[in-house]
Amino acid sequence: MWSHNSKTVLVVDDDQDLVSLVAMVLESEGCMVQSAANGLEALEAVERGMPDLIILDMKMPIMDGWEFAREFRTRYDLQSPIVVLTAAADARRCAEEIGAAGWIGKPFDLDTLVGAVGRYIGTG
Amino acid sequence: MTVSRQFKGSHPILQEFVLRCKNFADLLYDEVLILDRDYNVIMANQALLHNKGWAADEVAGRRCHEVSHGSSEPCQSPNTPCPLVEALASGSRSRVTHIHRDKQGKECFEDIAASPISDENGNVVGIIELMRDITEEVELRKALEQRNADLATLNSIIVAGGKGLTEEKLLTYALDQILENTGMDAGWILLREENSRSLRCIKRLGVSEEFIKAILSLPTDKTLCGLAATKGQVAMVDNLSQDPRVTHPTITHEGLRAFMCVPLRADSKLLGSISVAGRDPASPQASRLQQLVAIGDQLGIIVASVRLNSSLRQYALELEEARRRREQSASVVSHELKGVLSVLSGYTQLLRKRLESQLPQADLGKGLEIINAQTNRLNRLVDDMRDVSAIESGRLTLVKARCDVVGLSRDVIQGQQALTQKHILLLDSSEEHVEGEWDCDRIRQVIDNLVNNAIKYSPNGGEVKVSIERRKDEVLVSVKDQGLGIAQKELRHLFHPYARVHKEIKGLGLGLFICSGIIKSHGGRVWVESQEGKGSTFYFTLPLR
Repeated sequence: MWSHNSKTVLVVDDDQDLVSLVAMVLESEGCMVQSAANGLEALEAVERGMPDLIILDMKMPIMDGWEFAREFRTRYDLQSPIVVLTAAADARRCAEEIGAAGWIGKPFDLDTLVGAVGRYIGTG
Repeated sequence: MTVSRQFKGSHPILQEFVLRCKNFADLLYDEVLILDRDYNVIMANQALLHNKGWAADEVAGRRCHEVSHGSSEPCQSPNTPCPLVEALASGSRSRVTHIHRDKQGKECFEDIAASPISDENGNVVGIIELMRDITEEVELRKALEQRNADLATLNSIIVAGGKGLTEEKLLTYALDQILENTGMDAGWILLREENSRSLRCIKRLGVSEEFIKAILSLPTDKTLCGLAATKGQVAMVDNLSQDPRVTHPTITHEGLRAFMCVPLRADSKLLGSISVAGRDPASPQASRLQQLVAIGDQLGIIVASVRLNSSLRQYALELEEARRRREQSASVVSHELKGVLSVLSGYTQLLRKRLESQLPQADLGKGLEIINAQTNRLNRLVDDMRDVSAIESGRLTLVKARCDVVGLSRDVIQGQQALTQKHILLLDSSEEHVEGEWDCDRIRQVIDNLVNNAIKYSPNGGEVKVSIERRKDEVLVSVKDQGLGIAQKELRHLFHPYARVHKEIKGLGLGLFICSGIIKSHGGRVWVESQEGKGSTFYFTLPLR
């Protein structure tokens, strides 16, 4: 268990129920959670303030994870790590393609999620 | 051998020449003519008199053009220069082929060699002409050239057939070549419609549209090109406009005269007919008709192979499309299922942790609610996939009962209206009830799906209208929206499983396929009219009896 009120995590997924779940889990670990339903909303959220970690679904309407990652990399010098959270069969390759720090395949274990988040925001 | 009265007055050198060769000249098969500088006949041999039909005393005193051309004027065609003029002018030998005429005016081709006769100082005093009838060789050469041109035409059509042209382009090219080859002014190709007795014109050159319309308005057994296309009959007419069989005024007014028509045939199957016609009064020749028949047979085979090719290509495309869809569907379905499963498993884990941790349990209720909703979603997914597989294998079972499509639509509209404030849902039916023997649940599913789509694809709101119209043997139901509409190129795949039009709107793309499967298994039809940016209208019919 870690607790850092200052750490913000941006959860990007078009499934509202999944976003709520991740938020509930991470908030109870002491994180501030922001959410976005697609890549475009995520870019807007980043514009408002760079999060400490981005949890990113790949297949989303309007702007998918690949396009978001491309835009994100070109727009910002200082970049927070991205953890890919996807139902795709090749989650690892998705992560490599966009240069993500890590990946979690759906469905996932809550402890894996918590562990990964702790690891990438340096509080694990 | 005859020597003219000019002989005595002619140049001594010329006289000596004539005396020396007169006995010898009569031994030849070739015609020999000796002339003075003024083209007066000084001597003609037996072969010439015989071949040209002149008596010995008739030739004497005539000029050469009277004897060989039957003309009172010297011949002066720029294309066939006179060898005598050439020989006189140049003092050297000259050789040409001329059309000559006998005394009766019958034409023949002659090979003419003219040589000057000179005195000791090189002055030309007369000319000796040797002429040989080469009509047979010329005719043979012409026939060979025509045969070559015919083969070249056939070959060019065969080559075009291998270039992957469309049927229309191939036939256009072929008709062009045929007109060039036959020297006709006009041509048209008629094709038989698949599974029907009627004909359509795929290409016309040099004739009016009204003319073709007039032909197509007549029964196929009342026109020569119809008979060629449907019965395989060959026709050749000297003057089409005056043929007693042609009675339609538009056809006679076209002013066509020489006419030939042959079937377009692939083995024993008649595909259509090729017609060519000329405005010139010259009669068509039987040899041209034979060539046209050969072209019709070759072209028919090529057309059949082009058709086979294009249906094979279409089949390959469909196979590829089906393979791609299957691949895509597996990925879409597994993605969707994993999405649901991750929420279900996540919340289950969360609830377990909460229960174990004795922490405040306020959010347990929400978690359970989500689990319930996702379980329903999973259930719908499984239902849809089962429906798709039942429809694809033709095993969709219907439980038919008395059922009112107006009532069903009203129920659906009430239910869906409760879920949206942005849209106005309307029902338009002049009758209170329209009943039939249908599977009520399935028809409700179709209307619900179409109305739900109409709402989903009108993200900015608007009117969604369900209209019901009783027709003779069927009822027509339409669902009209004012939403995003569908691009023309997407319409073809719209009723395929896993078809997705607007990717930003969630869904598996199974709904329309299932709707179409349900309607079709009721014996109804389903279709869509749509304009991108303006909205879509989905239609379906159900049989009333």
